[in-house]
Amino acid sequence: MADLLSQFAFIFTSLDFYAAVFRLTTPILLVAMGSIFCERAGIMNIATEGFMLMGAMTAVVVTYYLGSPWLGALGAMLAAMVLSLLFAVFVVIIGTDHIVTAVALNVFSLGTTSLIFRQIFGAMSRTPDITGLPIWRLPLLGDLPVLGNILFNQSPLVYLAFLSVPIANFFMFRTKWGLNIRAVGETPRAADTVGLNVYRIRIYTILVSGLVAGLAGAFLSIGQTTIFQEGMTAGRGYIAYTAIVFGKWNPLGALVGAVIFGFADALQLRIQALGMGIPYQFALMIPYLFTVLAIVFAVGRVSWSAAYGQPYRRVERSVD
Amino acid sequence: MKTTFKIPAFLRLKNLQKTALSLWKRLSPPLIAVAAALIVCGVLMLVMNFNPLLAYQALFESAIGNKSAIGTTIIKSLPLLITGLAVTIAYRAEIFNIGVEGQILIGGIFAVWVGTKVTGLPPFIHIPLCMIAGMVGGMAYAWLPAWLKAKRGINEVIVTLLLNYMAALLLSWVVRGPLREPGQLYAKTAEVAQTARLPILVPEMRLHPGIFIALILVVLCYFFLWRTVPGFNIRFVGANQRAAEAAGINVPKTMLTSFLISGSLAGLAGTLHIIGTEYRMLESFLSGFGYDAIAAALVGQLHPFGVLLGGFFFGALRSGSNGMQISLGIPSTLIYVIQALIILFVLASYHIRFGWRWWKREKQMDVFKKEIQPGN
Amino acid sequence: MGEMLRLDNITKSFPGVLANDRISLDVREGEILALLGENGAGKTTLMNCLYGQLKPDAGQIYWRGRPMEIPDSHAAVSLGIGMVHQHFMLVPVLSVVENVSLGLASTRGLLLDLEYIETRLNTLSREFGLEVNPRAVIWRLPVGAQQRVEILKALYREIQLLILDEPTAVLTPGEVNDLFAVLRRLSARGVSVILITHKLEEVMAISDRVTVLRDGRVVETVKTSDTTPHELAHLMVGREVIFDVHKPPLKQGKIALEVQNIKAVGERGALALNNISFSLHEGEILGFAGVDGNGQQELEEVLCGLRRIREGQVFLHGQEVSHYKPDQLHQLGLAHIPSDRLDRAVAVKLTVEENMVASHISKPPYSRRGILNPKAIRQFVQHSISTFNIQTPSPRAAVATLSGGNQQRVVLASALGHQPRVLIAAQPTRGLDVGLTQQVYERLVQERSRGAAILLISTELQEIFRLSDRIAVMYRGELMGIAPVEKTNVNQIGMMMAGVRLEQQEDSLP
Repeated sequence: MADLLSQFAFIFTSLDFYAAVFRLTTPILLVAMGSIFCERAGIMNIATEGFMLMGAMTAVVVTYYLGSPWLGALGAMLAAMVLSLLFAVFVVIIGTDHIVTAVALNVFSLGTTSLIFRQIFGAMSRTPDITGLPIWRLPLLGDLPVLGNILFNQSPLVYLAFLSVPIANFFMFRTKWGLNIRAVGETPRAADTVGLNVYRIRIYTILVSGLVAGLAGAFLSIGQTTIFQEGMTAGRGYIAYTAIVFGKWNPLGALVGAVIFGFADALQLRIQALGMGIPYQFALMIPYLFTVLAIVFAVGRVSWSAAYGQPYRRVERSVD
Repeated sequence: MKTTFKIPAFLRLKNLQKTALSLWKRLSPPLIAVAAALIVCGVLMLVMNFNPLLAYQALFESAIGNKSAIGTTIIKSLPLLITGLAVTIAYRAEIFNIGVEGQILIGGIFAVWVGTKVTGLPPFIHIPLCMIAGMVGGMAYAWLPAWLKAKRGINEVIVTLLLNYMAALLLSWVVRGPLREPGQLYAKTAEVAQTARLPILVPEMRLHPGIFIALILVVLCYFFLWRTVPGFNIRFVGANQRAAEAAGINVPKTMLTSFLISGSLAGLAGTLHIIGTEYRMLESFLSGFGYDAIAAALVGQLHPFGVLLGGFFFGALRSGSNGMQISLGIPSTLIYVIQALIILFVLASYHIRFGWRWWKREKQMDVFKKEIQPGN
Repeated sequence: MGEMLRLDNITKSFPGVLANDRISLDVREGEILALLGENGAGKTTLMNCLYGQLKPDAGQIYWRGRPMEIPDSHAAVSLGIGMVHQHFMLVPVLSVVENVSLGLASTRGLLLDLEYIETRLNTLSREFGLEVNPRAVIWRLPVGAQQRVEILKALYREIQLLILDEPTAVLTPGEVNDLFAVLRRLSARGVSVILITHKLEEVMAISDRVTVLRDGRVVETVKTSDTTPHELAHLMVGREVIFDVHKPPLKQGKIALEVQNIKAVGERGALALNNISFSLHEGEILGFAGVDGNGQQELEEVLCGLRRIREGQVFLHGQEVSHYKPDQLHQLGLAHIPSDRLDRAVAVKLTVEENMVASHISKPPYSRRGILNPKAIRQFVQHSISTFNIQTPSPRAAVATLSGGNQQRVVLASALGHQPRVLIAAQPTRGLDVGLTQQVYERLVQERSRGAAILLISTELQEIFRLSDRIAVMYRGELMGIAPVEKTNVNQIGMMMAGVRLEQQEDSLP
């Protein structure tokens, strides 16, 4: 017991651990910031899981062929956006159920990514030889004692993820578009009568979520590592969704959620690395367990708007 | 007096036409969806340099080409069918139990545990005991999302998805840890005792009595939903929760009931596959079958008899895709794509006409904007 | 006065219903035109066509003499047409200015310009006497204020024609006068008004001309000064209207329902019922009047076991039932006609049969030991279908395929099918035409004669006066008083609806 405690003490006092927290928060935070707008516009979007996976696969493939991880990241964003367009067509235009559609798309993404990857690199999942995204040591800040190594010696996407929080917050609450998005999600019919195009706004926000989730996927495959594995997102899209709900659909709240889950992820990696006599499967369960517990204890009755998750239809039968 | 021969009412031409028409109305959306998905997938195969015709031929042959193929298909349809019923019963109460994937595994683990660790029982006790254990396992794993949904109104989908990941990890641990068969290179559980196994009825097809259990469950499920009070309540809650509340139906209890029944059916599906076919669990046990079952239920229009057809279809797809991979080298993950496309097309078939009308309106609006903008 | 708007042969049909049949009308500058017709006459459909929310199948709209297509409401607004819907088109979680600013170009580009809008809004509200706090969040405002926001929203967009759909349904008699004053001010500045209504007094009080609709057709357009309420009623309904309900004298029985000092909170957590006490006798109809949103819905839900009581007690036939569940209350003979049909009363995807038996399904003869008895169900449903004259292709047809009136009959059949001892009837005639309304009235009076205790909640004052033996009024969750119908009048009830307690106005009695 004392041994276990000292091992945990070792984890929590190691600076690398906190650097890992930042790194592992990044994909979740990015996805959350990207999809918080479509969430606010009334779309329940758990298809980000599939968007991410598509991004992760594309990033490796493009990097492999074109040699530049930056082009890889760009390709990942575009590929994920195409998938998100499909999602938008279904839930916004055709008006299908958001959840079932998202689940189907995630399965679709799982199937196509592994299909394409196997087709290109063979079934043996031979790892292609590629260079990943660089690490940026920020000038001045990176030289700070202690903090410099934890915070400012990371992939550029880490900085981008944390920078996106104040940007998203400003955009959501201080701009015209943010107001429009909130109105569309809360009372689409009212938004429609003042000339806001509910469909268009919803489609755009979904495309943004796809774009950003693709980037987050690229971070997984060519930011943290340089490999792609089938289903490597492992539910991070769902975890990001939970972070948004946990944060009551506010960017700052979602940041808190994302950091908690990043913490859990870092913790499980350390536990695995140290062994500690805990089966690695249980270590791997920690992020999911944290997420479930967050839902059980922190999420109240989720009902911020009756229109949330519902398809919008302008033409409805209305006889007086 | 001449005695006139009376044709039974349902056999008269008019009624036959009517029946055929209504049957077509019900069957056509899923059929069209399946066809569309296969066509899109065919195009995908062309892009990937495979011949789709050959591929589908291989798929067809290894699904129902010969007796043993049919046997495999049926064996694979059984868990899909029973899990499809599980999805249906939950969905009728507006609960999307995507957690069947995990509930199958947990049910299976319980069954293997009872099947391997409990010994010395006669089969007529040991077999039911395994089945009960499996159902309890599935139900237990459905309990948390069910409770959260019923009592606190928390969306069941995210919770069950996360629980699915955890169930897979738990299985991975179980086959390596507590239930591992000692002395084996590959991680797998020991086989369940002979007394816990269902007899094989048709050896060349490896059919076991689970097929009768599944068919009985189809009828029971129909009877439950349309002929009993709890089933009525489930459907009413699913159709309008607030009206159900006003009509005096206990909404949380009804939701809990349907969710738990759903979980126990999923657990049973895993169990029957173990005690009828595989006798043990590998790490990949019935992986992805939960999602297949959702597709089967949707294709079957959430009706027990429809699920029967849907389950068989996806069972055939499962066994056929193996053949496709072996003979043509097409990765079997292709069936994920087919399955996803079928779900999408089924969903779309309910709505597509509306979407079309909307498009027309949108176009009108663009024309209008062009007209008034310069003048304004 | 020049012509501003002309509708020429507008036709609009829905599956199975011809809602508008070659409707033509015109509106002149600065005129107040009343569009009179009963529920289902096609008024709202017509206005939705004009406001771009529905596309007419045929016909032409002329705006200031030019033919126009109006594909959406944004186009309508940019032409200068504004509409105040019956259900307000406001975003409840946003503030008044934010709501007004929605859809407008900002003076600061992408950034919000709420201060600028607020200043202009204040000017407008002073100019037209539409008092409202621009910073207030919508859902906290009373309904009357929300309506003022809707009008301001339209005025801010410099509209020249304002359509109001049944605007007085949510107002107290006093607020109605204020609204009319605003409308007169608008018309004095050249803004035209179309007032959709089915209330004759309003037409006579405010309009310049009246266009009467019946069954989707224009019956006639007349100058208001040339007509009488009697004539209008005749035009509207198409036959002599006898609005009198024959009500036998009151035979008050024992106390059936007693409510003592109950408190309950509403949807957003605010106190919605504060210290309500009253008793309801057998053989009596107690009417609850009042503007929507003053606690009536919460009262309905509390009495039917659908909302938790925070304090106080409820007794049904002397037995305490304060925390009983709906099914327990049904067992004790309580029945419920919910105020919102689609929300609480029916599950439209299910069949007529299933909807009718839902609240009795767990009891014999409809089920035994959990197994349904289709024969008994069928028998009850067949009987009810003929008693209540429900037009349905089959008992197994989905309720969604029925017309609104027939859906309401299904609700009535379900509530009255087992001779309830206490009936909570909330807005029982909402959305019904005159004929059907009359049938509902007669049915309620029959139940009263049978000895049922009836609590009637209605926003229609006429309905309350016609049916009730005693009238109660709630204002902001508090009971303003209960008066026997023969000892009160519209003025006194109106004062209570505006928040003046009965005891405070004793001296003003006739």
